[in-house]
Amino acid sequence: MHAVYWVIYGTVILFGVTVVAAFVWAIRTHQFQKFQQGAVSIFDPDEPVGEMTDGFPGESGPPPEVLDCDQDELSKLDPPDPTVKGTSIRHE
Amino acid sequence: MNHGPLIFLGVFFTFASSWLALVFTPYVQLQHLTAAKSGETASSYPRPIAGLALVGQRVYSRDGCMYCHTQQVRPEGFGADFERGWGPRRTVARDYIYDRPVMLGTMRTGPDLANIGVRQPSVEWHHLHLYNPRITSPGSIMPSYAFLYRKQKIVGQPSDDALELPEEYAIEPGYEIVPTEEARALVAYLLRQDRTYPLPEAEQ
Amino acid sequence: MSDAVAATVEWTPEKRRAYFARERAGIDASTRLPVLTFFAASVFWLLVGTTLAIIASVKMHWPEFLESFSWLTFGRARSAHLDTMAYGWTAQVGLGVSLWLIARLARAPLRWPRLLVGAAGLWNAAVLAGAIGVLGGQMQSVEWLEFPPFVAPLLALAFVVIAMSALTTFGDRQEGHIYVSQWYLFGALFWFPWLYVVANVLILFQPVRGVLQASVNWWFAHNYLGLYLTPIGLASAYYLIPKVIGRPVYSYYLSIIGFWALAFFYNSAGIHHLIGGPMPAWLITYSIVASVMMLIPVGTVAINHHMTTVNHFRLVLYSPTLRFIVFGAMSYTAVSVQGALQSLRTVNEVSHFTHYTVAHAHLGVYAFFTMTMFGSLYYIVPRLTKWEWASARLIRLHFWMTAGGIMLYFLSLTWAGWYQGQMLNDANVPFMDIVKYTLPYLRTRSIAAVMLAVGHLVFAYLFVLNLLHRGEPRRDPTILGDVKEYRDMIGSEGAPQ
Repeated sequence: MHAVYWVIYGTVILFGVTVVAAFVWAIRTHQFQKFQQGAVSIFDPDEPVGEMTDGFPGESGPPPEVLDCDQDELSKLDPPDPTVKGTSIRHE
Repeated sequence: MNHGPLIFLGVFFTFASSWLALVFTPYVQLQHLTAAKSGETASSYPRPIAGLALVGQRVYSRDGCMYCHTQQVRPEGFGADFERGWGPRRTVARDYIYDRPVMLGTMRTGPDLANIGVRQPSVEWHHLHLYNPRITSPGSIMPSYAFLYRKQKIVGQPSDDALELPEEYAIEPGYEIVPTEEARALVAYLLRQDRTYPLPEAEQ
Repeated sequence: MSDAVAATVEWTPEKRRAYFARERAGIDASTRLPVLTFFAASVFWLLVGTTLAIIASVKMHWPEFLESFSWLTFGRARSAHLDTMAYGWTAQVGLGVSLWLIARLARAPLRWPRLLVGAAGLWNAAVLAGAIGVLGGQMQSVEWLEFPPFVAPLLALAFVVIAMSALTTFGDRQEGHIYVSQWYLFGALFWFPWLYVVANVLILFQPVRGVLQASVNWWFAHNYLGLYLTPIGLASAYYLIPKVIGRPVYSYYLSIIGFWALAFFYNSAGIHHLIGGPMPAWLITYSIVASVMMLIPVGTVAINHHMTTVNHFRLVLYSPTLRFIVFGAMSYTAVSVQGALQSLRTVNEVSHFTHYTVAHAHLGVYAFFTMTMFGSLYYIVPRLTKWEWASARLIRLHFWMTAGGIMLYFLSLTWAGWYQGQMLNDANVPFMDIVKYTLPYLRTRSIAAVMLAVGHLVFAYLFVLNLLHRGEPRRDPTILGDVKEYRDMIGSEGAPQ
């Protein structure tokens, strides 16, 4: 039975240390900066932020007021263009 | 954030923690449970399931009895398992060391069967009930297990184990319903459901 | 394409658009054969599972129904329903969606498409053999693992092949950022084989002693939903909701926190299925704590999806994908909050052993997962077949039949189950009175099952029409372009890297 407790406590400590280490590492290497940029990685120039990509067949899409695009706000969310070298998220 | 290995490590660790807690530790705690003596009893309990009852266990498992009947008695004060007379004590881990598979069940469309062998010890009752549950328990929604019984022509005297069907369920004259080997095995298994013996950890 | 060639292209906004459209179409095309194979097979099993569901449901209030067929006795029909739905429908449709998402998010073509078709064949042969085994009398009374033991190695092998292909594709990724959906998919593909193999070995092949089987069983069965179906459903929602409405996820922080909380807590929640049972008390308490902590990941997902869609809620009127997935996402919140409450001892004392749990399970696997998958299929299939869905009216019919059916199902059984539990805990109520009390609700459940079946038939019909390219040829709104056209526009084949 004692061996089990060793295994359990050992794992808890190992797990805890790993979590703390990962957190320290993440702060140190600025992993939390420009975080929200990751959310726009699924958009691209062909399917940009602000454009709907699905609809019922044979029907017109929503009227513009439903899409509710604030152009200023959207331009802030534009993903970097990976076709232009040096701007992709990956190059950070 | 492009850190595949890091994600892998996290995914591995979180899962390993649950494996350790829910699989490994209980294993160490319970894998070596054995039958035990309690009080003045001469023999150890529980006793291994054997013989015809073992065949019956397979029938119980294969026809999915577990999906409407549990085999566990919850502690006194938690639910009404006691008050309904489903057992004199809660069932504990040791009660199940010989069960393969363990069929605790999670549904009580029908009553608990942890001690059905004590509560209903009549072989005839079980056969009638399995053949058509409405015979013994009007209003029951349990399926009929008539496919575990055989209809045969009476040659000379009726068989000893022929079912004594009440009038409204009677079949054509000259024929009788007898249990197959599987039906007898299933009843043997049901009668074997007795978890009323004393165990040291259940004495409360 | 080399930098030199890329430099010769003059990147106007139109060409840039065309470049990405072409890349996306090419990646989608690489997944066409295996993903459509998985989808077609899963739709087949959906219909089989639905038929078995109706049989089992009717038998519950009409026990004489088909009673002379031993292979359709309630215990077997019900388990064959569960297993064909679990391994035939949910697992496969989830695999199809995962493979498509992995290739798309990696921006890399799917690896080994033909091998994947082989794996799909093996998977389906195993499910078929398993279903026949269950009905034919080889069933194991182990919840979620009723298939005869020989099926497990086949399913595990097929899954490992599929997961290897997915992970290799993930390794090929062109996209620098690992999107949150990929985290979830990565988890699902890694967790499932581990769970499945451990559970089968410890219960069927080298059975552990006594109630350990029950704890391993619920560790597996709960995690099948929590660590396999849920991550796939969430991955799909995290990709398709923002993609359809054209707005990024509200808070990317929350989505990542949600992932780790799910990975950590969902893992350990399963033993709450054994509250009151013959298990060590610490084990059950541990699971209850984990179950309640599940409110964290659920809260993050709920806030995120709500805030992402909040100003665009009316778009559900215009997008089939969005309406199914939003329904699924809302159900996810509901089922998880309900699950956390249900794991509390006082609630569980009543709800355990009743139809309440059955309703809860269907809220999770159907209202959340299955609806999310329907939504995903509405998005994915036209992009693979290059053919628009045949009828908006039928899509709407499909939605209302399934959404209405599952709500009716959930409400009737939840109500019945709660009172069933109250009466079970009152020894003065004769058992047969409880049975009689539940009968009207069980009949209602059969009506709900028929509604769901109508929805499924409509969907299967639409799916087959789409595969056969029947109906009016349309390109908008889902088919956004043609590879050749883009090639003409860009004037070269390569990538500007």
